[in-house]
Amino acid sequence: MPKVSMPKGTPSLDMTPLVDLAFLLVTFFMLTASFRQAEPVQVTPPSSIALEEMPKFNFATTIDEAGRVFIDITPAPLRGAVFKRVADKYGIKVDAKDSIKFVGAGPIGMNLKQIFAYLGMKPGEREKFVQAGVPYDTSGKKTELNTWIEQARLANQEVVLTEEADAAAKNEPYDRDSRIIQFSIKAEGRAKYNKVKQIIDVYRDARVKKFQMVTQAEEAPNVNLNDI
Amino acid sequence: MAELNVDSGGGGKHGKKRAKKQSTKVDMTPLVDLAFLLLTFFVLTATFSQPKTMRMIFPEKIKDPLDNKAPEVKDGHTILATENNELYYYRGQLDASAEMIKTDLSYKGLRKILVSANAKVMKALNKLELERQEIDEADTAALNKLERQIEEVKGKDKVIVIVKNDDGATYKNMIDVIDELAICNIIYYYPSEDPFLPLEKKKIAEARAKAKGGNE
Repeated sequence: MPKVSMPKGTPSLDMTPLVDLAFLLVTFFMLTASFRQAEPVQVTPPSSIALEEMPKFNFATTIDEAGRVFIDITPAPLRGAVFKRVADKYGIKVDAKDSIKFVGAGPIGMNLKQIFAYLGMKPGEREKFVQAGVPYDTSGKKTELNTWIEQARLANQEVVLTEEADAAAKNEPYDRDSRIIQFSIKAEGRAKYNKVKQIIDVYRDARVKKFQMVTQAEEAPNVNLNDI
Repeated sequence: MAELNVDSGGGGKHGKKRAKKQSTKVDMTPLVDLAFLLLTFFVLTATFSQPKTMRMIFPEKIKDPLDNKAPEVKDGHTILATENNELYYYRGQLDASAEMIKTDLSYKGLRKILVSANAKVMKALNKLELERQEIDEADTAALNKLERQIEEVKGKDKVIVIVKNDDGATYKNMIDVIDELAICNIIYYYPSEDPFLPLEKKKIAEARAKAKGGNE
């Protein structure tokens, strides 16, 4: 019988392809991941079995326990356009620099005057700034929140109309519904419902009826009919 | 991190320096460790930051309460949310003889009430779900047909739920109730804006006292 010769030295494995693969995946996830903005307020929304995604064209409202309102508009070009329109309404000119700063400023919970002061701050100072919430009025009087809602809808309408005309000119199909701005509300679970409702009523005054309530996903339970 | 197994070139005892034949392989293991660590981090952060949303439609705002009254529901189910996360339920029109039930979000509580209220639809849906298991997954036409049937069935038996709250109820209470309706496939619900009626208040107090007495 021939002798089995054992290889000498430590066995080595070429790790290079593994590294290639791992870094490829790292790059992929880094590029696709959308990072959460630093939020000026932390709220814990209730959970539900709902599975609808966050709308892409979104007027996001965050409501904390005290009833402060923070707004955030996506995507970025729309956010810039709405800011310009709202400032225009109050007779303030927005330059390109402010507009760019505003687009990257995350959720906003303050009045218009404060926004300009806020944009001038350094990032470290911004975190220390206590935001009092976007002004709103529950008795039906029009305040800044109403203007934000109205102008967001108008700015979105403008975008949709131009895109639709463009698509029609090129004979391309156009999915209008997916481009229309939606209103998502993320409210603190412990907040009193009537307080949240008062804020929802401000939106209803602006003829918004459909809302996307942000919830934490929860698994749908199996309902066994025989048990009942 | 990586080690290069290259001769340090120190052995100059015999005068002439000579390049030793050595492999220039780099140990990749720490690099792999690092890469997978980053990979794990990005995978976890990417999937956990996706919030989900629940659609909620509010009726048109009533401008003049006398002119445009809320729809009158004859055989509805009313759920009342109040302080301390308490829930109460009654069926139909509330009169002196009607029973106010103190309930909760447990399996034997509101779930049981709503499932039996919507039993017809729940049974039909169960049947359709069984059918789904028999359909070949590649058969999209049949699956689409089933989805349409499911949507149709949901609206067939018009079970109407009125959800009411007072100042004590939290946002979570309301979302939990509406979520419970979704679990029980009830699609017609009406978030009422009226305050509790005096009779409702009285009945709630009675039901609360009764539940308290039963526990002792």
